[in-house]
Amino acid sequence: MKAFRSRPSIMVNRREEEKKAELEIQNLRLSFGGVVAVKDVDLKVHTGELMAIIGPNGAGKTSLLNCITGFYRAQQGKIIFNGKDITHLHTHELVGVGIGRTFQNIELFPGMTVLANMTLARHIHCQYSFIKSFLFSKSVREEEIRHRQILEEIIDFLEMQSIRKKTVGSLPYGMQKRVELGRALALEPKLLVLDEPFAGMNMEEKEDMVRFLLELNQRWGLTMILVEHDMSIVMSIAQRIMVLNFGEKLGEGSAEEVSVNPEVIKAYLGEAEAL
Amino acid sequence: MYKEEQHKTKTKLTLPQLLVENGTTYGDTKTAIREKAYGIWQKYNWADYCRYMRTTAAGFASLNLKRGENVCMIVHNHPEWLFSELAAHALGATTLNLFTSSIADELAFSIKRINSPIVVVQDQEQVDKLLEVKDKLPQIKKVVYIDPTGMTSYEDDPWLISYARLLEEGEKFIKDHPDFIENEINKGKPDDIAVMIQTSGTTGIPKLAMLSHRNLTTMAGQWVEAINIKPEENWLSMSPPAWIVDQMWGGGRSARKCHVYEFSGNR
Repeated sequence: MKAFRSRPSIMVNRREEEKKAELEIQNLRLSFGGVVAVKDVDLKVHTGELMAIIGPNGAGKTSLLNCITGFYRAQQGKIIFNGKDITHLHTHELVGVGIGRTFQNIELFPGMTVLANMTLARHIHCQYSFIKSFLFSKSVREEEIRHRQILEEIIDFLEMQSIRKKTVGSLPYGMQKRVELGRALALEPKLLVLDEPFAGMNMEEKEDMVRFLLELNQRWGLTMILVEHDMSIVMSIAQRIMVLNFGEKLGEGSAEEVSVNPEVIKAYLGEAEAL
Repeated sequence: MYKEEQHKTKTKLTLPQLLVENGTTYGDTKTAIREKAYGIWQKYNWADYCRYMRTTAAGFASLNLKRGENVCMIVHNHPEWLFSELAAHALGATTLNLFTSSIADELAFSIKRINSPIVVVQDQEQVDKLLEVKDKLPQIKKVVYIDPTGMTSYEDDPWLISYARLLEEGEKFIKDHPDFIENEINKGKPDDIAVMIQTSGTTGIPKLAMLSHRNLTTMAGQWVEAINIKPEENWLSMSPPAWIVDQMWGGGRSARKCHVYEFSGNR
């Protein structure tokens, strides 16, 4: 009974206020020279929601995520997270606020092991001082053990036991995506931002990923924003969907509402021309 | 040298009785089982081993398992296998281990043949197979699954119970009936059938070989003497529980002498 818990303590022991993730985007505008990537977008995400953002190529989905996570600076508008204006915060400050993310093109350290990559994410939770870490005192050792335990529970949850000491660069693509999710979870985020977590995966890897995300969202109440192209997955797991096209918001609602929205159908399938 | 006298006293006990004896003798001073989990070896001492056997047995008792009934197990090499197997023996039940790689129809045939009311399975894979043939197996009252990975959507099914829940039920049962398990363990006789092993089945349907507690403890005694195994040596459990090898070494020998049973798994 020492194995098989599959209940990561950082998820189980979250208090209600630690779950709170209210994101509000007001009138956000991002342009690169003459190209407007995100055009006056409004969006609200509530605690415990799994929100999906969809849209054709170049619709501005990743640009919007990059604004939320501080990689791009919006020229206009506001992003408010849990009542705090985070529009101008830097990426490392946003992690402290409780926003974790994964990337479309994997951004791990390929020459380091899975464990080392994930350990880096625990940096923001380290309590000990710089001096103490040199002496490697008892309190530092105990804290390091606690961090390792948290990581091991995430490894167990994501079923990565057999690769914990493998170099990330040597892993198949689907596994690297999983490691990236593990690293984002190690941050203990309140809001998890996922940029195409299913891209380039085979069916089995996709099913595993869906299972992890649903468990995180439905069982542990983790709030998520998901950008994804695989419509069958988005339609079956997202509670709310926002559709972007050329940086503009076309529609928002449940899977049923979005799939019958004429604007959305037009953006995806085009329009019939009069003969 | 062959110690006739000691050998005779040991073969007078059933496997659960031997475990209780070891639990009292070694308690928390010696390691009984090691399991690889969360990247390190986790230890169970003899007192832990005994406690898990008792709690699991109480869990089975709360599911109304009776003396003389059979328990089917479709598990991998993990401590939960030993706990459940010895727990079933503690209540006077007989166990049959099946291969985890068997297809659903094979499992259904074997479970139906021994009319087993409780089936202990490893994970979602085995649960799915049993659900597939559920209508052929009306005698199954409960399916106990050990590994909860991916089982969230199955939690409402009254046919299934997790091993963790079984232990909780067991603890409640012990509170209500403090002496029940001890009495049941003491009722055991060395010539009761402990395990059934399927023959290979190369020339037809596999037959069932019945082995008593005395068979297993005697066999263990001979091995210990023949190759001079000392206490606290390690046995790395790798062969499937459905084979005689790990049954003989796990159930018999590790209970017989203070040996350490190791489960490496993939964890």
